[in-house]
Amino acid sequence: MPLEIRRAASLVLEAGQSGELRAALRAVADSTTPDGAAHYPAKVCRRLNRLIVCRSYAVPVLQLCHLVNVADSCAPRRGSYEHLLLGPERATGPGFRGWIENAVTASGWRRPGCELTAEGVAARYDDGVFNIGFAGMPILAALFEFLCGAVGYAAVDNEFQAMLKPPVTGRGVRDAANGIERRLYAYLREHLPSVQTQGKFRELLDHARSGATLVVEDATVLAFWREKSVDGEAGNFRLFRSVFDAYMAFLSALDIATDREAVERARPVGSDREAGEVDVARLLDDAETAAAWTSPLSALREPPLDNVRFLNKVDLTALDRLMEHGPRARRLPWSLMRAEVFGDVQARLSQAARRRAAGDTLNDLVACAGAETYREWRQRLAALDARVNDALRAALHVALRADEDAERAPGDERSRTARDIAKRAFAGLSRKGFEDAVVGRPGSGVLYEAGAGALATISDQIHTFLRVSEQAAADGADLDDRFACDRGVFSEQFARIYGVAR
Amino acid sequence: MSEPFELPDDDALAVAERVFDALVAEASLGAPVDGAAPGGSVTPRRLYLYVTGARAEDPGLEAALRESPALRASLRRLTAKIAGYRIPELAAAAAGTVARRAAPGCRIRFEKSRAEPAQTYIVISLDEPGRHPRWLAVFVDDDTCRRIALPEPHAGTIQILVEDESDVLAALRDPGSEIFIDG
Repeated sequence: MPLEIRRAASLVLEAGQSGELRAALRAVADSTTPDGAAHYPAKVCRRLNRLIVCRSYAVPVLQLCHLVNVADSCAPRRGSYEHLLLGPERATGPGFRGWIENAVTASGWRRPGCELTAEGVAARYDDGVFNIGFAGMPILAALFEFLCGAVGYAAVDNEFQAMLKPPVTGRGVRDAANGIERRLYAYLREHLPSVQTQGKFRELLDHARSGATLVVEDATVLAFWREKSVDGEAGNFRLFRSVFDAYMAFLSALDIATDREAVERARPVGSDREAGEVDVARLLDDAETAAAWTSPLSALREPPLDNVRFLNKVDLTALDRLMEHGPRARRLPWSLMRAEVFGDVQARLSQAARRRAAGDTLNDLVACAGAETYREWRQRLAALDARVNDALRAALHVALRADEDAERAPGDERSRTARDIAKRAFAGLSRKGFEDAVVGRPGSGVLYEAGAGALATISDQIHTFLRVSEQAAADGADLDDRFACDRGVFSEQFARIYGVAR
Repeated sequence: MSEPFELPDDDALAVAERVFDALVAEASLGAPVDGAAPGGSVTPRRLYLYVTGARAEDPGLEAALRESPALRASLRRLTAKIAGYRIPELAAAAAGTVARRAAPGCRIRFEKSRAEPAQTYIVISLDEPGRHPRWLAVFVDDDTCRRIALPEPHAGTIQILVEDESDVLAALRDPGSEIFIDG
């Protein structure tokens, strides 16, 4: 299920989100160790983003306050919580465990109340015990950094200093958490207004509603765009790609919200059911786990696989939308092709209009002159699939050579042939990570096997979509007829949007 | 192909709207960042690495510090929190430059080099000889920070040779400056 819709094409849907908020989150994600590696694992940054946009920060803020107390309790020197949360090493659970255990081993606890457990630290207060796991500490450190960017280091530190005045109590920790939450709430009210307030969801819903049923098909998406792209009153639906992405998000949201069991699980304990209180972050997490679809490109772009250039940047970008939406793209195959083909024309048109390009250039773009046809796009996708498979074979060559036992095994004729094919594919690639030196390098087996797995998923998704689009063409107008028809529709609409006479 | 489906009830639609909201907001985080205030994208960790010397050079941060008084104030506050020694500003009566600075556990004096007339030794003496502070940071009245990495001490004394015209020496000899040393 494509829940991570992160592409820039979706930007026009942004809900008045400020550059400042994005900058604060981006700064955390871009944080590096002194030797240039990412300080926070990508999943920690995604988790932080989700906690913030879903406003599910109450529990993590409380956990952070407890962690600050723990850090202060095992202080080898002044300002210890900053040393723990901001230290130069990569933020990992074992890293936090090491720091705290070393501090306790060297100097013991500075004051009573905390003790190490198998999984973390137990902080004891006058009114109870609070457990903080090592594994969750990286996200708390990332949250601290974000809070400092959002509401200011001095404001956050003031809350902590008040909390750490002896005696440290459970009540004091909760008060600090409440104080930080209030500041964050006020910040987000200004910098993260709800899409709800702009009525985008309702607009998509109203358009898809037909009596007691909802119909979201390719025609729905196209009709919505034709109507709303020139409607200044509507949310910004100027770009066809944005409308497509919006309807994909709309379908995801409906799927998730109508899974009653999942919604019940996401209700916080003691929540007001009448008020419909639901932890949206948890709902999204559960849905992602259940749907078992995450864009395989994410894995290729993140450590450790990003050290190997399994695919070049152009190919990765070309696959972005199809991989992002994954199996769900099958529900709106023509819309995906329109987003790819005419969305590309519109992107160039928007750029040309912004830089006030000459009339001829605009006219050509409005007429969709030179637009890639659906048939050409499919051919390009098939060619891309061939390159994906070359990379897959080459990755398998490294993975197989890393397994010494398998290497020595005689194998049958078929496996020898497969190995030869993989070896030739490897020899045919001259990209980072496919040099002879990587073959047999320790750790290469696991790395290239993971890369091969992601490439296989990409290839499967391409195959499936090619099949679905072929079927869609077989069920109606063929590819060329459909392209010719769509070209007229898009050309007419572009002329209206950009005020260019056809 | 997408099939028609039953319109969900109002409760489910309300949840769907919030989920949609979150999905769209997550998607929007990929947008280019513009219009952010100077220093707004500097995390405290970057300040920490700067002052502790874990990242020796950070021209982008230095530019942001020059532009943002708030960022300089944050750096000063953070440095004060993580330092082991603090030598406060001298009383208002002090004027010009000073020959020594001191605080409990730590003293700094300045000695002209005999071999190099245009250079001066900064000599730091610590009461705890086993300690090896890694950095020194000095803040002048507009929170501008000068910092230096400290070499290993010998018998509780650290010596650094600097040019007479160096900013860090001027800041250390400024009676209005506040000095922090790693502990």
